[in-house]
Amino acid sequence: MVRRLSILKQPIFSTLNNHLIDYPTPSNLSYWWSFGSLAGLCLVIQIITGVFLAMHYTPHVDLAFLSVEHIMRDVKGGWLLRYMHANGASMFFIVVYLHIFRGLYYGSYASPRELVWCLGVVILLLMIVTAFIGYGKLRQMSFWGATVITSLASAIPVVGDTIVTWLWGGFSVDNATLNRFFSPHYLLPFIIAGAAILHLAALHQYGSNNPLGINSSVDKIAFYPYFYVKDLVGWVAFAIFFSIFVFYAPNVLGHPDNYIPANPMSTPAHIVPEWYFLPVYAILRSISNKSGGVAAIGLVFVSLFALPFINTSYVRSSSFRLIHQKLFWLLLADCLLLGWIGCQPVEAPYVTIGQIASVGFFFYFAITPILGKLEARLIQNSNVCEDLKKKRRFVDNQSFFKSLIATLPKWIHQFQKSKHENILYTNPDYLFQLLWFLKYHTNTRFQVLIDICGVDHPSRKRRFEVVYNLLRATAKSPNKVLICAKQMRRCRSLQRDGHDLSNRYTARDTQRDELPMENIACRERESQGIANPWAIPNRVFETQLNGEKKLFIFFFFICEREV
Amino acid sequence: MGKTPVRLKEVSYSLSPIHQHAMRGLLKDFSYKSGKRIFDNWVSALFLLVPVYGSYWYSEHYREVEKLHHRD
Repeated sequence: MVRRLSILKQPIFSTLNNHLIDYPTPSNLSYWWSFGSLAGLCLVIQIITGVFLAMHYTPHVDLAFLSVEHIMRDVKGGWLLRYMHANGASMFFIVVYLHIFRGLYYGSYASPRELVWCLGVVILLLMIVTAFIGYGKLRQMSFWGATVITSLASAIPVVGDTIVTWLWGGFSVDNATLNRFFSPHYLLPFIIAGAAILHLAALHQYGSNNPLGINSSVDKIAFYPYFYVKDLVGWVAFAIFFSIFVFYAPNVLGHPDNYIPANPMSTPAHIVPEWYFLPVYAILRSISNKSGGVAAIGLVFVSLFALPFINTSYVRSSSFRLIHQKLFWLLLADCLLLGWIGCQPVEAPYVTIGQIASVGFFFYFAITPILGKLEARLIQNSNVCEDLKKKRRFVDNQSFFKSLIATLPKWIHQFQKSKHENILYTNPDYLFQLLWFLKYHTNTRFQVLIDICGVDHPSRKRRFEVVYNLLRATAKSPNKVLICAKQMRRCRSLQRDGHDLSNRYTARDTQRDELPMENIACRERESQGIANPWAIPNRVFETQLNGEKKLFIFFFFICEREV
Repeated sequence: MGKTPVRLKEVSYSLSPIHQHAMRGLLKDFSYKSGKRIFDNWVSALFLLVPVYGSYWYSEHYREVEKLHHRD
């Protein structure tokens, strides 16, 4: 047990401890779950580099372009700051897009994490606005890109032109535009940080999803050190990837026209935004009507917001949804296609391909309400379900144990059902086989051993009972069963059996039989000539049931294994 | 709080991680595991790659046909 400092119990530190250190996390998270913390890292990088860049940048129409060149050439480390900030934005979007697609594949948006998803979409919107207004306005491509996108606001009926004039601070993109864009560009990252904290708080309400998409309450481990280390691996890999762009290809993701000062008299042949806006830009251009294009962009984000609420599937992870899995890959292909179309000229055949791809994008969201029900219907009508119906005895809770006893008459000689417990009684000779069957058989799968309880009946000749408490991680009922091996004189081998079943047996366990016992019950057994105690009791207490005295000895596995 | 306390293996700095078998099993059967992963997911890979490459191929083909259109 790691010793905790008392500082972790103080008000603020205890919150940090509960959410970042001792936070229960599903044990089966893959590296796809590292992108969340990576996004946080990207935000920190952007804020730090941005603050230092702002110390040298001049948001004036006559000086902005030159101030950036001043940063690049004269400020010590200015080139590094500038390239880190510019490429950091691209990295931020790469990480966030991968994070979003991970959520789509594994159903992280599904109930009860709707709020987490919606807050994530809000963060994405804020990021898009921040990146757009921070793109700069006094470079050829950024000037014309800003002109095109801000003039889209004129599509709004009645007040459109007024809004555009307000955005520009005049009748074209000029000095006023630069100032009123730079100010919120400085502010919004802190708003994003606040939204990210809310996103994390909403996530921690119900806990993280996991690759299987099932309830992971049965098997959680502390965030620190396991996922701290796992995220650190992701951070190092990200740092290498980021460094390649910053040091070896800093302008690959940008546009060369941005090294030309803005010229309102010369329009570039092909106006394109930064790469992370290309899919949405392609959807905008695929509709010839301006208002229609703006509405389509709005529909993209409305679809993202609505996704958790239109989802009808009760299976989360696409690993178990074969149709949705294929649709997911089609969606990803569609988004890549839209990104490519966005940087192509508006001519045949790119227009047609863009229109088809745009329809395909919305098709994914349109079919979501139907897809869950379709998959459920297919499962019901499939041969798999027929097989399950034939083996109904293992599906129905009430007949589960009846069927189990009928299947294993030699191994189970009694069944007792109380309000909260199902107890199967077996002979010690068949204990291992029964536990093995329950663990590995397709229709049982009791794979989690919660605890072992030893019961000592001093008044009986065969004093000992050992109770194995098993659990299965499934929505099916029953999910818990107790296996009781009765009338045992000696229990020495069961420890090893239990270890084998939980796959935690090590060579060190043989030494346990020789460890000195300090417990009274154990000493009593020794004085009666009974075999050496076979485990270190963790807790002992006496009770009486039906006039018979019982001693309960709980054992918890403390396993040491090499990593 | 963790599922089980895990004793980390001691690291000796006089030996390389390879000699100490620090991450045993990481690259074990790597070719088999990679091949299995590809074999299990080839259908998904098709759904991803075919639309992208197919559209690119179609656009290049269209432009070639358009270039040669004057010969008709």
